[in-house]
Amino acid sequence: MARIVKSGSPEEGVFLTSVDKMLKWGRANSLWPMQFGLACCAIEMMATMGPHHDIARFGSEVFRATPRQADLMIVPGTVCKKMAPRVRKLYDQMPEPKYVIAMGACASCGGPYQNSYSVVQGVDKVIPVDVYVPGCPPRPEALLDGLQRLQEKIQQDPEPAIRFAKDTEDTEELTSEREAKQRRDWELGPSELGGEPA
Amino acid sequence: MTAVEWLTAQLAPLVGQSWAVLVVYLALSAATIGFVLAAAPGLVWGMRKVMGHVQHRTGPYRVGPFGLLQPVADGIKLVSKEDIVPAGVDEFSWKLAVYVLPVPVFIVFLFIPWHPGFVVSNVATGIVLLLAVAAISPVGEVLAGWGSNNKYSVLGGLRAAAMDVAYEVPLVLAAASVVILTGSMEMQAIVEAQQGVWFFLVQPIGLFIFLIAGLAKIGVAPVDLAEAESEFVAGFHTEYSGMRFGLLFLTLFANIILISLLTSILFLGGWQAPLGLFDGVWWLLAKTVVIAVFLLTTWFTLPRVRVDQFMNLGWKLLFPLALVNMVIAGVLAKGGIV
Amino acid sequence: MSLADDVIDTVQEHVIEEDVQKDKPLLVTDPEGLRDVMAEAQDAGFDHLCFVTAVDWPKDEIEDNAAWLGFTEEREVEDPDDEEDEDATETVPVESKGWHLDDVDDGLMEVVYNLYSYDEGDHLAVQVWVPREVDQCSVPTVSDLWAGANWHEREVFDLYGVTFEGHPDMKRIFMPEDWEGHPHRKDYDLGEQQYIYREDGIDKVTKDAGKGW
Ligand code: SF4
Repeated sequence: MARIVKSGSPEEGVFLTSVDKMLKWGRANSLWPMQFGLACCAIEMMATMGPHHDIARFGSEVFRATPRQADLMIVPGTVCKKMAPRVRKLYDQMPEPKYVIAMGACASCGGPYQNSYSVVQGVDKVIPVDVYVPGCPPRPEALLDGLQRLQEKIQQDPEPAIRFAKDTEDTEELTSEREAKQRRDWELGPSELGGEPA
Repeated sequence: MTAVEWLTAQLAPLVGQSWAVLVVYLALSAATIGFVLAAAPGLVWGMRKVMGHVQHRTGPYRVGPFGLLQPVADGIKLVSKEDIVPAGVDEFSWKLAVYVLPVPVFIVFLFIPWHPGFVVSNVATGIVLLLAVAAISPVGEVLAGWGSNNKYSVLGGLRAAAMDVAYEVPLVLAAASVVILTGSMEMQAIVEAQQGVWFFLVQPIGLFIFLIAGLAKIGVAPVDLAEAESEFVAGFHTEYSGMRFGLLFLTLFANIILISLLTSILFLGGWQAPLGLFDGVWWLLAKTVVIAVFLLTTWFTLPRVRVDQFMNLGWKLLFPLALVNMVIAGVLAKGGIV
Repeated sequence: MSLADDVIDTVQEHVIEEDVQKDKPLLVTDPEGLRDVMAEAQDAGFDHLCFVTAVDWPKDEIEDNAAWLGFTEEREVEDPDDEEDEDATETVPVESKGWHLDDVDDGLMEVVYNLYSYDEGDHLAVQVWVPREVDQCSVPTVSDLWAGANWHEREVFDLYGVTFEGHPDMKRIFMPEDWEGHPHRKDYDLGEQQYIYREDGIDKVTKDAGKGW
């Protein structure tokens, strides 16, 4: 197995640590979401882009239509079972580091479609989720709050910002490691990630 | 004596004539391209702010004063993204395309007359060379589209190339009218010829054609047909991620700067000051900013046109109009009016 | 005289019941007579089959709604024991929709066809009641009469498990081929989630979220 190089751990000195901070700052403030909608929540996501709420303030108005250029997947709405493999595919096509916001009750846990035969009971069954935004639909303010929490989460992440993968196997290992961590983070809650968000 | 000659003359006694020429040219080229490379992110910030205000929003303001650090954050993020080479791409052409596209755009800035007596590379056929180098882009677009092994990319690349080729014609013809008026292809000569009257006064049709064709060359809304999300996902750069996409993004903004600069030089008198007040690079930059903001506002205001309508406009309206405009320019030049 | 009355008159021998619900005529027929009725309706001018659907009636639900469905009837007791209670009634089972409640094992499946005539603006609903058990739950297809019925019938098959005899392509339309059960049946088990994943370009079913993703 190829060696996985990690930067930014405390023993690597001040320089790498500040580089690490800078990278995390850059990532947190330039979250380009993917341009796709699944259900009614998508309308609210569009409202978030509009003049009144203006997601551009946080540097996130660059909605990219292709997963290759997106950093953040807002899952806005009901994930049908038929859509689930496609959502997973889009997620897989995004380059690392990638983040997911589950927007609305449907994407978080099935919502109004609790125990439906056709709806995935929460998108976290399909892809790892960083932030859950409750509501049916969540108001744009709630989505912006979720976005800011994600920004905090990225900046407070104790893991190094860059990990190099030497080959495909390595990439897969890193990916599964990160997914496991994302799931663990959620169980730990914000307090163990370095304090309550401001 | 031009600035370049003066610098060379200063350096020649120290290192010898040929080395001096080489060093001066390399340094000035690096400085010019560096300036553009710095200006493009600035334009990204400007674009996001202008877009915000056009759409009654504020635009980015969280990072740095007025969100000025936004392009920096974008840059940091783009460089540190995973570099995906999708399975099945034609690696050579796919990777080559991201250099074929930006390099010519940055090179043409060397032919720009920035200041009285200062142009990095003052070739006698300036405007023709400039437009010829800038016309390499369809090659890159087709390379990127074909290399991506993705149907959206292929269609997007072909459409981008078709559009570029179609609008290159009116663009060049509009520039040719200016050449007729000037009687020279040298960039400095074109600016100097506008001493008395700026060419947009005698060539309003030319300006109109040049702006529309320039918009098509940049390829943003209302004519972003090559990357129309609803049709092609993101056109020929669908498969590019991270800094490869960053380079293409940079090219877009370098193109906006280029078209704005050319418009100012060909039609708005370049570094010529209105009423003869302090000629200089500041006037050129001011005019460029005005044109750039105009282009950006067009971008954010108008919806996308349909591709066949736009191609019709190019071949059936702008092309004949540009020919007529050339005749007008010829009459004006022959009659000694300008 | 409306088109629906025309149809009902012509196929009188197949009509088990007729009714008017919400101003729209309705007739109940049996699976054997369905094709005659539908062919007749098409001849009469019903050129549009709006949709085909079904209603699942498990036995206990039929019993709960027996009176409303017409499987029982209130009758006056003919010679009441108690002379004072003149108006005493009793509930007696009667035949309805071609079925007697005692003959029903598991329940019934009501298949409904809604017809419309563009020229006359007339509506007609046709119902067939068949046994609910998956192996007996079948009616003849009408997809050769109205091509649009093709996908409707596949949908009803997919979600309710009604087989349409003679249908050219009787397979699931929404759910993957190997999906277990028919989700709109009332006894479908919602507790056990099945998931879909893609393999070689087709949808497959798994019980394990995350498999193949
Ligand atoms: S959470 Fe509510 S608003 Fe959002 S997709 Fe589900 S049903 Fe629609």
